[in-house]
Amino acid sequence: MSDVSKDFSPQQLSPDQRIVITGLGAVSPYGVGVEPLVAALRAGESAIRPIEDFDLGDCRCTVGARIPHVDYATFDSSSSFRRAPRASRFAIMATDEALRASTDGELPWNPERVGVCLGTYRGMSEVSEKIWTKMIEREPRFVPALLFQETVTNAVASAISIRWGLKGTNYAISAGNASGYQGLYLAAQTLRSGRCEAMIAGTFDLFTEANHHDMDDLGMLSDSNASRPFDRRRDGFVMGEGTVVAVLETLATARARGAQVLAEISGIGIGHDAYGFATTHPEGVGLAAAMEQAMERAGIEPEAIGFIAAAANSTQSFDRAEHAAIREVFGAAASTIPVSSPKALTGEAMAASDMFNLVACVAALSDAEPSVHNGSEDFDPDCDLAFNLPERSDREPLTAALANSYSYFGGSAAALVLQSCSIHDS
Amino acid sequence: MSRIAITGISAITPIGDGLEAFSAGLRDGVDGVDEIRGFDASRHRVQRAAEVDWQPPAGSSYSRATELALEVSAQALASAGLDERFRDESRGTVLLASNQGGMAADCPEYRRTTHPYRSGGVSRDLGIRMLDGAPAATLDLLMARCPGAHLGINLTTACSAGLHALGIAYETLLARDTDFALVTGVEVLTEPALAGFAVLRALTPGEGPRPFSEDRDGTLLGEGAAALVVEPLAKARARGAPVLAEICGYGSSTDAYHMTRPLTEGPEQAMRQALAGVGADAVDWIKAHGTATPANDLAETTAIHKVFGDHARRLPVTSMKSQIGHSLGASGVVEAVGTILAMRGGFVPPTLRLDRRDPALDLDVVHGGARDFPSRYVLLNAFGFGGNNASITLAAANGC
Repeated sequence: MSDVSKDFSPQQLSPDQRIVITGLGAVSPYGVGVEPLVAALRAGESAIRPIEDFDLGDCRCTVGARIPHVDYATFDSSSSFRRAPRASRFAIMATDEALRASTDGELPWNPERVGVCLGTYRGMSEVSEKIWTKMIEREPRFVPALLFQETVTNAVASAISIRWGLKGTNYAISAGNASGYQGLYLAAQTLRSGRCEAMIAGTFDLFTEANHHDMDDLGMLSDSNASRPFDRRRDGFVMGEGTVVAVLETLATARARGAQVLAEISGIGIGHDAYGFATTHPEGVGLAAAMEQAMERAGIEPEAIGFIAAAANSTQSFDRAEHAAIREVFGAAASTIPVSSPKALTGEAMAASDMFNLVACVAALSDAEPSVHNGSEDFDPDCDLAFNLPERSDREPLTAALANSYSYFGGSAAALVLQSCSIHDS
Repeated sequence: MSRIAITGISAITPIGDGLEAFSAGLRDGVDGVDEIRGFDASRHRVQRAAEVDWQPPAGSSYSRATELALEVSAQALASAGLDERFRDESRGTVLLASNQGGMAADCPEYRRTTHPYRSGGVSRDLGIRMLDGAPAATLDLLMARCPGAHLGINLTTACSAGLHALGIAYETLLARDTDFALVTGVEVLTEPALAGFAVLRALTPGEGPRPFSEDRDGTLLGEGAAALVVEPLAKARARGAPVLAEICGYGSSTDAYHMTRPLTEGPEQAMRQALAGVGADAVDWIKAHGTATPANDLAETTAIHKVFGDHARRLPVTSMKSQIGHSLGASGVVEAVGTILAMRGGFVPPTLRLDRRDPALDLDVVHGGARDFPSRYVLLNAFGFGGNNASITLAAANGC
């Protein structure tokens, strides 16, 4: 029955079908901006610290990678910004950075044809919890109206549309705790169909006291307070948070306005383990399918990939599943391609981690050095991948990188092939 | 451009469990509004809603919303004839429209599942219930049961999520990126929604919602679950699947203005995009968003007049929310199924409680009983929080 088209490789796509990144912005456990995030990933600097801003009770895991104190006032001192939920403030700051990087100020597009697409796992749980508390501790009729309207998951995407007057398609989505690339997929679809000229696409995920306690009680978090993906001693993940936003355009639009291109998203692959509730397939079949599809659409062979940003989060079965998927797809080449999971440094930041992986790949393409995999020392023989390969002067220049997105609850999976690209490319 | 067909539908609604009951309920103008029975609403400002009389199978650890989604999805796939035989040979997409998913519906359930109220150890059943409370958990279960599913997305764009899901299915099929799509909408009544919309003064304090009536004073929350199977018309014909309707246009836009106050330009833009293929004059009737809030019905009417010009006066309009309430993220999907049933039955469902015509809303709102009215093209609107707008144009089978 399937006649899903195969002719997607960039060589066969016209510039109005090729998707490029022209701006990036981030708020991460390293603070505001892409630069500190990239610097930390390159240096292998962990953002995981003891949690001090809420009561940990009898939690076994007592660390996390929180976004540090942010000086909002210098960014925007208005009361509406100050009162906005944390997720909206961070996403607005990231969007501001991405738009500045992409445009030098004035928006060069027709605002009716600029859209927003944000993916998230926890959505606005920080706000919803306040509503529940108000209902339980006081009365349902005392729920604050202005707070309630921020509980909808699309509140963040709407806040961005209102701030910059962006009147195109506005999507808020979730696809499990890895929701990042499904959102990029929709953004690419909106650009390719011609409905929008530019898309603000990214993710946000924050964690709360209740999230941490619930995950700890479910036995998901690390008892040893360590995030060490692929390490033999891994025993669960550490919570992380963040937001990353990209400005996406077609190569044709970027070229027409002479924009700088950070990288091309030359292949998006989407898969799903479809294996059951809150679990992943032991062989990572959904992720393997996603990686294969991403490379097929990019029109490249596995050997052309110079770096893999992995999704492994320091959970026994989950890391093993990703390893199996990489082995399945890359075969012997898996021993020579540098792999690193940024979650060793940032913790499991849900949908935000997907975009951290994208940033790691874009950074690797820009200076041909993959980010460092730090934190794991005693690598699991069942996870025999190429971590932290020694510097090699004869290494081929890095021109293509693979970013993985994989949901440890439920098995939704996706992968991106990112390639160097210039607007002068044919 | 290839033609996109709807080949399977299902619905569980406040006025009928199953297609026959829902269709009859729409034609007969059955009122689904009643006192809230699902939880103790005595401390809330509003105590009425349109609930679905449906309980999950005994012994299930999943939420009622998840079980409802699984039920309607299985029904829609079966009615389209898509079963296990398609698991290996096709690539499917699941688009779930739900804002609240399987989250706790009431305070006792929230206390049972969430820190700091939850106490004691976490049993396997409680663990499942806690994880089902997270967004997109429902989606993972649908993915496991939909043959060949690879792409799964939960749309959470408030009240426009349902038509966004249908529109994404349409565009993904046009891009030949999938063989078929299952579009499922589900929303159950929850205490946060009841409390929140009430404090926003968006809910009617009266008997029920009065869309387009001069004395309209708010919407009313409803529950609902529905699903559609969408695939290329050529493929549906080749495998002998029933063709129930076609999708022939999709539009989406944002007001970029205010979280809760609507504009007319955004809805206008969404409708124009959805009508780009067939043209406004071809539309036979409109399934309005019609929430019965003073602001929505005025903005929607103004936008309809701008898009349709003189044709607006000859155009029957109806709001299903007067019968089944507002099922938020699911409403676009539930009302799309209702629209297909009405098109196939040759009628336009009535808008209930339109007791005082509003001179400012100069539309032919169908009321006082269903209107027999064969139709070829129907426009569907859904507008939501954040100024988020979506429109879809449906054609009768063989209509495009």
